[in-house]
Amino acid sequence: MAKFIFLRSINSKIIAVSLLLSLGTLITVSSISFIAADNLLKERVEDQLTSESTGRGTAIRSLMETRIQQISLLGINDVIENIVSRLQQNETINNMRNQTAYQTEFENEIKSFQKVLGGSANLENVKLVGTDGKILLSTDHSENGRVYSGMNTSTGKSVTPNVHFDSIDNKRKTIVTVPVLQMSGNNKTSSRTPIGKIVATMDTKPFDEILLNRKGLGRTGEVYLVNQNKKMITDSRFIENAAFHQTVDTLPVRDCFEKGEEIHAIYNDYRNIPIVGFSYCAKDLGLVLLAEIDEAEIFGPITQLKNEIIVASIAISAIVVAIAFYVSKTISKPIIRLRDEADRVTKSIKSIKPYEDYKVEIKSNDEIGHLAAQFDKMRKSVLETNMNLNMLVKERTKELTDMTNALDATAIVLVTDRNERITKINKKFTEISKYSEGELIGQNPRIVNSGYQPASFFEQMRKTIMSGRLFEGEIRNRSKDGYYYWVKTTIVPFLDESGLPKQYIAIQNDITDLKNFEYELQEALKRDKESSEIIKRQVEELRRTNAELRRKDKLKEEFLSMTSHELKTPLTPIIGWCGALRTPRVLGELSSKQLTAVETIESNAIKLERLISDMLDAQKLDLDELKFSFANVEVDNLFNKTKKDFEPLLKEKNIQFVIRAEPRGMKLKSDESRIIQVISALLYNSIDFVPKNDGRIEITAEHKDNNIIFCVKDNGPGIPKNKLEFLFKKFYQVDTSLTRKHGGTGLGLAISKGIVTGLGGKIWVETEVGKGSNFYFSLPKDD
Amino acid sequence: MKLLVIDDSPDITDLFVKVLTTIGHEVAATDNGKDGLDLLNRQKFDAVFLDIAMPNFSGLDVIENLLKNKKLKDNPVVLFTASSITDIEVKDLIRKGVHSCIRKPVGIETLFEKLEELGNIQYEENATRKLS
Repeated sequence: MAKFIFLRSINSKIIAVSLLLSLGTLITVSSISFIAADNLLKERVEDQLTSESTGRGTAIRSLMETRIQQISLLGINDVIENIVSRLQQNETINNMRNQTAYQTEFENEIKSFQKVLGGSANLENVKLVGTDGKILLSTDHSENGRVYSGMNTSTGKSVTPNVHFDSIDNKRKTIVTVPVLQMSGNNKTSSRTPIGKIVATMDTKPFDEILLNRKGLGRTGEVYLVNQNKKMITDSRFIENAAFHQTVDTLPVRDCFEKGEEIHAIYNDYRNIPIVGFSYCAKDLGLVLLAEIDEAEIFGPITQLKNEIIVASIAISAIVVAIAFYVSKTISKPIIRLRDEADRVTKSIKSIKPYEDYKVEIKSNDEIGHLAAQFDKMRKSVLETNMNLNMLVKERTKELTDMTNALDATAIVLVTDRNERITKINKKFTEISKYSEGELIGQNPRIVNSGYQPASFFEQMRKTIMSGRLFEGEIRNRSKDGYYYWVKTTIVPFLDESGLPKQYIAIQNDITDLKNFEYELQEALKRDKESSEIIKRQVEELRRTNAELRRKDKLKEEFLSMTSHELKTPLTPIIGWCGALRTPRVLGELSSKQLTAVETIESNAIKLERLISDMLDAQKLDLDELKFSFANVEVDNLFNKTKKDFEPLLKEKNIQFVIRAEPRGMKLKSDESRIIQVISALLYNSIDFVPKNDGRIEITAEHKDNNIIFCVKDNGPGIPKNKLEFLFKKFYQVDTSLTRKHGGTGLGLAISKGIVTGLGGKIWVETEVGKGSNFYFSLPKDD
Repeated sequence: MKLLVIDDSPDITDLFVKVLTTIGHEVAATDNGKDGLDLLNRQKFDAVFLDIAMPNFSGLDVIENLLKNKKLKDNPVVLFTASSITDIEVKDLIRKGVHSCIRKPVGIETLFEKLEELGNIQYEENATRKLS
């Protein structure tokens, strides 16, 4: 509320404006109406009073004239004429002492006089006055013969007929004086000579009726007559017995009798009270009629109106102010709330304190309400932003502090000003340089210089940092106690607004150990250079050897394929011709001895061929050159082929042979010829070892999990357990003595193992001395 | 039957000629592929026994040539080789039109079987080729 007074608040503005407006309007309106009323009133009053004064004045004048006329008639009356002339000439009037004598003497005249007067009821007293001023005859007989003491006691000269007011016995009367005129000479001339006058006394009733009728004059209005002597000659409304007593020396009186002018003005009347007065000047009658109303009464209403207007204005203004106050409060309350809110928000932003959050409650739907809602949003976002910023600042500060602490703990930090004087250092600097803080502050950093780097180095450094760029380098320094230490330094210049460096921060890391290590490393490297040369050479040699070996392998491979072909080729005709020889159809019959010889040759050639193949395969095993080709293999087919191939031989050797696949229709993805090779190898072994006439060999195939397990069973002597380890190795034979008996190179099992492994399977044996041997190999159904 | 043998070893060609003519076949023989092709250009054979490993012009070159000239159909080729040609390679050649393959050294029985096989084809010209 206290802020009401200062026009800084919306409240006071609104109120002041309303006040001004209302007052202005009221004042304007009331002034206009006031002035209008004033004028209207004045007009009315003027009209009124003019009519009163003029009307009444004119009435009085005409009344007076009527009366003059009335008496004037008597003045030219013959009878009166005669009476007057007769009486005037009578000398005895002077001597008459009593009225009785008078009446007796002039009985006739009196009778005629009364006869003439008979009609006029309003004549209270009529006197006939001679030119010498004597009352010749009066209706009041006591007056007869006396001297007339009234006005106009002129001695019979020209008497203008007039009326004047007088007070007789304290009663107001009008005196009409009219000359009595006698026709002089004959009737030819119209001139009349006055021979006396008639003085008639009449009442003032008709005048009073006119004057004392106060209708239209309000409460304080009066109309009265004033004579030349400035005496009121009619009654006053306010003062008793004013007639002929009250002096009225006022403006209209003076103006009338001095200038003959009528006025209407506001002046002070005979009571010294300001009045509004209108005068009617009848100077010729020796009268002025004044119609007056108290100014107060006339303008009273106006003044009252003015006062009422003022009061009303004040009241209305007060009401308007009150209303304005209320309205502005209503309007400004939310605005003030907003302002307060804004203040709070600003304060809270500045103080980085947490802020009690509440909404500005403004319910209006108008622009202010909308503004408040927007303000709320802004405020919320400001506060949020502020909070976030504060949090960020806290975080960053913490980060920075952490970093600074970390830095401080690990690095040597010094700050120099633009004149290269140390201004700040950290603990690590004192520790490593062995100088105290006091010894360092204010010094040039070259206090720790050791002279290792040339001057040009420091020149370069200075140039770089002075131009505002970062400098990095390694420097060897010397501590206070004379020891050297190496640092890797980064100098960061900080620029002021004009872009010139104002201070430099150097962050250094102690790399003394590193430097020592570097040096030792270099020494070691020098020493090891030789050995590394040797190693290089050795590596070179190894590489060459490797290449050589690979070349040799390649040669071997080529040699192999060539050899196999070359070795096998001669065998073809050998076996071919042997076969031909055996066939009588081709080359004729042979004797049994010849046939035996041919068979021997053929079977040995066949063996030789097998041996060559084995050898080549073994070589290929070595070189990892065994080639396989995978295709769908049907076990039944395979077994049929095997059976066909071996049946003759087995029959010849009288060996019982069973070959069986269970179930039928087994299939696998593998290399058929290689499988046959393995089965052949195993078969040949078995054939070699089964007993002469009682031999039995069984070949089976069965299905287990995802594998097909082949088995070559024989009822040979079996294999002792201690030989099993070496069974599948190259050139191994259970009994070398048996070799000679059985032939063979001992490669068969090794090659079989190589093939089976290459096809993704396993090979093993179940055997017991005296119980025969079962050679198994399994192959996966798919690859 | 009319047979052609192409092999660089004279012993083998001798064997073929001697043995097969004895049992009643007509046998022509060359020791190199080029001559073989010449012969094939001039006449049709019921079978061609083709060695692979020959100097200058190998058996495979002969096959290629025959493929180009579309003579494989009319002249069934039986590969007759000691070289370590893989089964897959053989299958591939068979797919291309070669009849079959027998490995050296060959037993006389195998040879006779093969001839019977080839002979059957003779009588079944309209039947589809049997793939071994």
